[in-house]
Amino acid sequence: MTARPFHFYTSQPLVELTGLRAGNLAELLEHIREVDGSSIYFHTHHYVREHHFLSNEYPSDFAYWVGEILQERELGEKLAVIDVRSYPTIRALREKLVEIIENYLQENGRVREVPTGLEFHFRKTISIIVPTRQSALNLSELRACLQRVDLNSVYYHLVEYRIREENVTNDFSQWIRDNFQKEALSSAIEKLDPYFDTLENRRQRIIELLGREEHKLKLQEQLFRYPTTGVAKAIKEKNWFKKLKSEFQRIWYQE
Amino acid sequence: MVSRVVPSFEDYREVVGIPVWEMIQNIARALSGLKIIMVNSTAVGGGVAEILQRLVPLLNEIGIATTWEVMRGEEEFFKVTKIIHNALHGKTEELTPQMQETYRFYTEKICLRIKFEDDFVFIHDPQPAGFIQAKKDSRAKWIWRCHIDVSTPYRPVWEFLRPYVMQYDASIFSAPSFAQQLPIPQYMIAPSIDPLSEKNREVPLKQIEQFLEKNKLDPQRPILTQISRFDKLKDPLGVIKTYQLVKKSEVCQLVLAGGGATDDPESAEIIPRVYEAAADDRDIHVIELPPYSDLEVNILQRASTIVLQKSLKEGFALTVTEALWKKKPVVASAVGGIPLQVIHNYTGLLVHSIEGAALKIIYLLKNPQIAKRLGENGREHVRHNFLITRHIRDYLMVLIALQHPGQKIIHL
Repeated sequence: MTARPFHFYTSQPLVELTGLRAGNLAELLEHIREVDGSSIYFHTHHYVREHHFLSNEYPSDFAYWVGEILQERELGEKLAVIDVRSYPTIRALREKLVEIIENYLQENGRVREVPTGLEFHFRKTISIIVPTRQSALNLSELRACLQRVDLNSVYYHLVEYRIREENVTNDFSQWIRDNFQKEALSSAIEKLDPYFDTLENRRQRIIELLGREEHKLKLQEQLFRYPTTGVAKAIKEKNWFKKLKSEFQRIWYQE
Repeated sequence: MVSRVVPSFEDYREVVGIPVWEMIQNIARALSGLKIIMVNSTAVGGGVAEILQRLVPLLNEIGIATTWEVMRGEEEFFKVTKIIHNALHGKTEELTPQMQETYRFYTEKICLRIKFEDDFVFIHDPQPAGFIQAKKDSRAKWIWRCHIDVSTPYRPVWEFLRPYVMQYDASIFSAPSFAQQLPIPQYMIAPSIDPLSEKNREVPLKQIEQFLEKNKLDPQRPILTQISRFDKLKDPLGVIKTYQLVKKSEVCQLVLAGGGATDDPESAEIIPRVYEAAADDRDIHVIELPPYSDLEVNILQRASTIVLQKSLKEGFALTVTEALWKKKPVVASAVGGIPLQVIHNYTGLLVHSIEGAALKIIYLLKNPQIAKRLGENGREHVRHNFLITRHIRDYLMVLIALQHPGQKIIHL
């Protein structure tokens, strides 16, 4: 079977100001309910993209502003711990944000104001998708391309694709599953969390996983190149290879 | 002095990496054949002219035909625009009906001298904002690029300017807090530095050593530096107090360097007070830099152990960007655009008081590995977010967005 080529794209963000600002929790909640979905997307994702080299204690602007600026630490922590990956749509993520803030307001009842100049300013984003020169036909080429592309490209295929397509998986895992039926590898990439680690670390981990897969295929090839030897025969007959394979997978795909 | 060759777009490939460099060209290709005109009010001096001097040739080089027009007005007109400028910064200023008429008269007169035959017109800042009246005879998309801090404008003056701004197809501001209530798109484009300019290029160690010797600075002892014009809002006296607290436990020197007094009487007062506060300590070096001291600024930043920016109020603070690019650990006040650059504990340390600044400086002097890590992170943060190449990319993306109104995802 010939694999469908994997074309690398890069997503470039153009930030748009909405003119909406919040100086307290009630205003923040009101705007979260009403703003464009691209604003919710921006404030829960731009850390991942802009701070390529660091993982942040607060992976969303909402959590940071509530925790550090508004000094509502408890709510800040509740917002920070939301696992964005478990919300397939921005609509679902917005509902979760609203629910958490609403509950907190009901329980605490106070509305603290921030000093002038420290208000939350709602922004939104336009994504411009630009093709790159990189494309892959197999796992080895995918690995080589990943080493060459910029982190906005990694972001696009690992994060933005999932949200845009309202999908549970990322573009890499989808392509590997569709074209090579390598479920373990696809799942291992799916498990990587881009929200609590840097994109560079995630890129390196995918490269590592692909490298291990390549190495495994080579071993497999070598083993079956000598079908007449007693050892290979015994391995085949006793189903040892299958056992070895599953053991390798267990070790290799563990993070 | 050896004159340097102006960097070409090709020269930025190594700085930003091939993928980013190619991506900008790919975006430019999608816009090839289109023409841009940039209009501002000064050809030299000031941040806008500085950025246009680099942007315009680079845009042309990547295939976007770009011209630059400088509006020429009378003194009477610029007196009015100075008032508008100050009021947009938040100062209470009266813009009399006569002044408003002067603005209308001159913008109408001056804009007749410029031909707007391009596809996109970028009007920079309030001085030429009234040129929008020429839009009706032009096929171009018009963009108002505001470089100034309009977070707390003096309302009556903003209300005078607003009807002009509303007629544009889009506006661009530099920070989230500058957003206004406008019926047109407001894009956010942060300022940038040019990594290959005289102020930011690599400097040979020998040249740095010579500069230190000439200015009687000891390379063996830590150097704390703040580079800013001598202005109350940059708090140079607070910087001296910070240094005095640090010196109680650490050996160090302080450099306060910047432009001389401006025509602001408050600023003119500050320099004698700085000299007075520094008089008893030979380790405080006050260096008054003349205009066009880019290389000296570069050397001073590179020679520093820690760079301070203890401002009371700030615009974006490009001096912080410059220091981060040079891998310097930065201790800075959490004001204006500084928190966009200094992410506390990752790319530098944010402070809120003289005592806080002193504490953080001592901490960094005692922990050079942490200082090194902050500096390295700072450089990467600037590489990804605050270089001129990103500025070019953002301008190109505004053009693309205007060609695809209402779209949230645009495929090239």
